[in-house]
Amino acid sequence: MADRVGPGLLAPDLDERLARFAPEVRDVITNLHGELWKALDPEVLELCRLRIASLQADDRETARAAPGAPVAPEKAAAIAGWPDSPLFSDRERACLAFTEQFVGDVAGVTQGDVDALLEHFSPGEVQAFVSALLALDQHQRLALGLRTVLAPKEETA
Amino acid sequence: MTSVRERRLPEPAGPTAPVAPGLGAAIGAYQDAVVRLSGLDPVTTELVRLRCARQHQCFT
Repeated sequence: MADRVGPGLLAPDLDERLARFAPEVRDVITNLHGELWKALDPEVLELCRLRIASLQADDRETARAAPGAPVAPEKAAAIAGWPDSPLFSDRERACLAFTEQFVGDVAGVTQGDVDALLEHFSPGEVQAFVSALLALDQHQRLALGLRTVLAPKEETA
Repeated sequence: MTSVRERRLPEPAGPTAPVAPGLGAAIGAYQDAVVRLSGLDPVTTELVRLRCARQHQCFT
C-alpha cells in the first residue's frame, strides 16, 4: 500500500470524476500514484511528468502542485526546451528523451532508447522507470480525455 | 501468428530485489479494476484492449 494516499496524487478534476463514476478505479489509481514515486528519483519523475504535460498541452497538469517532488522553478520553466538548456543533467536528459519517444510513439521505442537509459540506471531501475512513465502518461491522457468528453456536458447540466 | 521479440533489458546475473516492488502490483490492480468496470460490455472492452495492445506492440 502506498505511503501517500490522498489529495494531490491525482489531478483534481480526474479525482472528482473518478469518485463519481468509478470509485473502485479511483482507489487503485490513487494507490498506483502513491507507489510510482518510489520507482526512481522523484525529481527526475517530476521532470518527466511536466514534459508529458507540455507535450499534451495540458496547462492544468503543468500548473498543479507537484505530486512527487518539486523541481526548481527555472527547470520547470525550461522543460519544453531541455535539449538546449544547460540546467539538465545527462541522466535527466536520457529520461526526458525516452519520455518524448514514449509519449509520441511508444511502439517506436528502440533498443538505442533503452540503452541510453542503461548508461545511467540498472535494468531494474529502467523497468521501474518505464512502469512509472506508463502510469504518469495514462493519468494525463485519462484526465484530458474525460475533461474533453465530460466538461461540455457538465457545464450544460 | 508468431512473433519473436528481442529482450531489451539484459538478464540479471543473479537474483535481484525489485526496485519498486509495489509498483507492478499497483499497475495490475489498476488494470484489473478497469477491466471489471461494467459500463461497457465485455466484448467491446476486449476489442478496445486488443486494439491498444496492437497499437503498443504488446505481445503479452
